[in-house]
Amino acid sequence: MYGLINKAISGLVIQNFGTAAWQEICQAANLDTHEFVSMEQYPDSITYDLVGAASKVLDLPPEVILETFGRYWVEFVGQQNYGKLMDAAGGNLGDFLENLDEMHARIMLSYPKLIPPSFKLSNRTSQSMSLHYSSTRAGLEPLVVGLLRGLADRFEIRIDVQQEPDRDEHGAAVFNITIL
Amino acid sequence: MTPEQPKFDLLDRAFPFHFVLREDSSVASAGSRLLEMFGPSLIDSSLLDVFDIVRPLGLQTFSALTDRREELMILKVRIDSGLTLRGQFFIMESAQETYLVFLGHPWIHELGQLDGLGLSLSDFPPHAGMADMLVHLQTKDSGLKESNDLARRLEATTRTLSERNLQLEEQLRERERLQETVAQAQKMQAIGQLAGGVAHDFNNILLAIEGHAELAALELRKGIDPERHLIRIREATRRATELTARLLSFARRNVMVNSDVDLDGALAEALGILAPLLGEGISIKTDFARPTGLTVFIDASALQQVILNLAINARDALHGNGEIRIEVEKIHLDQPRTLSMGGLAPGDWIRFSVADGGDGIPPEDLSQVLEPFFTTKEAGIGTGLGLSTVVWILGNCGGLLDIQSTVGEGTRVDLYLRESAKASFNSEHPVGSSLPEILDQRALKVLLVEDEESVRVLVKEMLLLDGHEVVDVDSEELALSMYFADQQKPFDLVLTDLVLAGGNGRDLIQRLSEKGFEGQSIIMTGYDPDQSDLGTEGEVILNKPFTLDELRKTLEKI
Repeated sequence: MYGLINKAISGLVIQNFGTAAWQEICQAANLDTHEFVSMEQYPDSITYDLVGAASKVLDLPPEVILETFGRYWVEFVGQQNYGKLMDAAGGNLGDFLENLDEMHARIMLSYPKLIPPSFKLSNRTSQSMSLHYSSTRAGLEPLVVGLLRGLADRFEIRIDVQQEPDRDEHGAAVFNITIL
Repeated sequence: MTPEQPKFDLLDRAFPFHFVLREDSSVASAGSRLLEMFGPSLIDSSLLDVFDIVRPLGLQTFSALTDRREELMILKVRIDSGLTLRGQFFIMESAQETYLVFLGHPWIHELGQLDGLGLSLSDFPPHAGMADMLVHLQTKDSGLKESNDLARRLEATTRTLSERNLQLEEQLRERERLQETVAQAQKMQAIGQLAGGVAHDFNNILLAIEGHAELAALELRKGIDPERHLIRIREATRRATELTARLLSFARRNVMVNSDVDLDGALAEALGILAPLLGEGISIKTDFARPTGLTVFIDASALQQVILNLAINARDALHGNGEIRIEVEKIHLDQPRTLSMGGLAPGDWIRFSVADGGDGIPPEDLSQVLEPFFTTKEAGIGTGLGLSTVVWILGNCGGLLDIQSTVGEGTRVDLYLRESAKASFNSEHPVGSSLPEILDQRALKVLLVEDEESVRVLVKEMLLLDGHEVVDVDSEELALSMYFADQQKPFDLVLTDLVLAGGNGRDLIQRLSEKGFEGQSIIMTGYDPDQSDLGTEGEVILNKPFTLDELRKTLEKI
C-alpha cells in the first residue's frame, strides 16, 4: 500500500492517543521507521502489522481499529489537499459513491501501483442504497463501514449501515445504507 | 426521426458540451449539459450572441470558422457563467446543408473550479484528458507539498543536529580539559605518596653521609686515612642524586607528549620509585626477560604514572603483606579481543600486567572501577582517580586496558600498548652537549656566585684543586661590584647559581654582558631544566648535585 495509508494510521493514533502510543505501536510492529511518505509504496504487511500492533497496544479489537480508521481516513484525505478531488467526485453520498470507482481510476494515473477496491451502487433511492464492495484484500469490511460513516460526516447526514450476511453474485460484500 | 438524430445522440454521450452551427451561424442543436446550463433558448441563438471566440482571434463568420476548422479553439460563454469550452469545429455535410459541429469540453485549470461552474468529474468522459490531468496535478501537488514539508523538517533537523554537534564538541573539549586536570591532580596525589617514601630514603642517605663524615673526621684526628668513609659519602650522594632525578622526571610535564619510550629504562626507573612505597611486607616479582628491548609510544612521565598507579592499587589490596607480579610480554593477535576498555584490534601489542593476590573486586564494582571518582578503598584513602587516569593516559596513546578480578583471589590489570617503530631509544640528553668549544683546558679566572655557603665553599675548593683562580661572592650585587673592582685580569668564566638571595643568575649574566663581559658563563641549578626553560640558546647548565668529575667535564667542554 502507499504510504498515505500508513500516514493516516499514524495521524489517527497520534490524534487520539498521543505520540508515545504511536511509537509503542511502531515498536510492537517491529518497524524501523515512524515516518511514511505518501507516494512511496510499502508492503501491505506493514499496514496489517500496524493494525495488529495498534489492537494490542490500545487494547481494542482489530474490527474497531479498522472502522475507526475508515472514518478517520475520510477526514485525513480531506485534510491532505485531496479535499478538492473529493468535492469533484460528488456533492452527496450517492453521487460520491457512484463516482468513487471513476475517481480511483483517475488517481491511478498518479499512483500507478494502486490496487484500490471497487464500489458499485444498487437500489439507489433518495433515502437508501446498497453498496457492493470488492477488494483483493481480505478482512477490510469494517474499514468500509468506517468510510461510510466518515462520508456521512462529510456530507453532514446520519446513516445506518448494515452488512448483508451473504455476498452478491459477483462475490462482493453488500452494505445496505439508510439515510436517517 | 431524421437520419442524423442517432448520430447526435452518440455525440451527446461522448461530448455533452457539443453544439451544431448552421450556415447562418445559429445554433441548430446542443449537448445535454449545455442545454441544462443555458436552457432551450440556446437553440437558434447566434453563435456570437452566446460565445466570445477567445482563440483564434478575429473569427466572426461561419465561413471564417470553416476556414479555421479543426484548429484548437477556446470559446467563452457570454452569459455570466464563467464557463469556457476548449475544442475544435468539424464540418458535417448533409444533402441539404453544411454544418459546423463543435466538439470539446469545459476548460478549467484546477479542480476547485468545478464546484463554482456546477460541474463534476463525471462531466469529463474518459477520453477527455483534462480531468485526468487535473486529478494528476492535484495529487502531485499534494506530493510536492509533502516533499516540501519533509525538506523543511529535514533542514530544521539538520540545523538542530548541527547545533547539538557543536555542543557535543564543546563538551568533549571540556571533558578533555577536565581529564587533564584530573590527571594532574592524580599525579600530585601520587607525588604526595611518593614524598613519604622519598623522605624515608633521603633520611637514610643523610644518616649515611652524616655518619661517615663524622667517622672520617674522627679517623683524621687519629691519623687514619678516611678515604673509605669518603667513598661511602660519595655513594650516598649518588643515591640521593638518583632519587631527586626520579622525582623531577615524574613531575616534569603537565601536558602529555607521546614519544618512543624505552620500556626497560622506564621500568627500572618506576621500580626504583616504587620500592620505598611498598613497605617491608610487600615484594615485587618481575616476570620478563631483561632487557626486554621493547620501545613503546607513550608519554614517558605518564608511563611512570601508570605503573605507579597500578602498583599502588595492588599494594593497597595486599594490606601490607604479599607479592605484586609485574609481567611484560609481546603478543600478536590474529582476531579482535574484547577488553574492559573496548575492543583490541588484531596485530602486535605489548602487554604490561600488574597482578596481586589481594582482596579482589566484587563483580558489581568491576564495571565501575574505570569511572572517575569510583573507589573501593576506604574513605580518605583513595580518590577514585587512579584507574580512570590510567584509562585516559592509554586513550591518549592508543593503548587499552583489561581488568580481571576475583574476590579473595586478587586482581590482574593488563595494559596493551603499541610497540614503537623504533627498535631502541636513548633518553639521555647530556648536560652541556651543545656547549661551544671555545676555551682550552687551562687555569681560568672564575667569578663564583652562590648564596649557599656550603655549596660555594665546596665548588670553590673543587675549582682551586684544578688550579683555577676563584673569586667567590654570595649575591648578584656583590658579583657586579667584584667584577668592576677586579679588572686587572678579565674573568674567563662566571659560574653562578640560578636562584640567588635577592637576585637571579640569569639576570647577573645579562647585566655583566651589558657591562662588557665577554667570557663564558655556567648556571648551576637544582631545578629540572625541562621545567624551568633553562638551556635556551647560549646557556650552559650544570645540574646540582654534581661531582668534581662532572664539573671538570663541563669546564672541559667549554
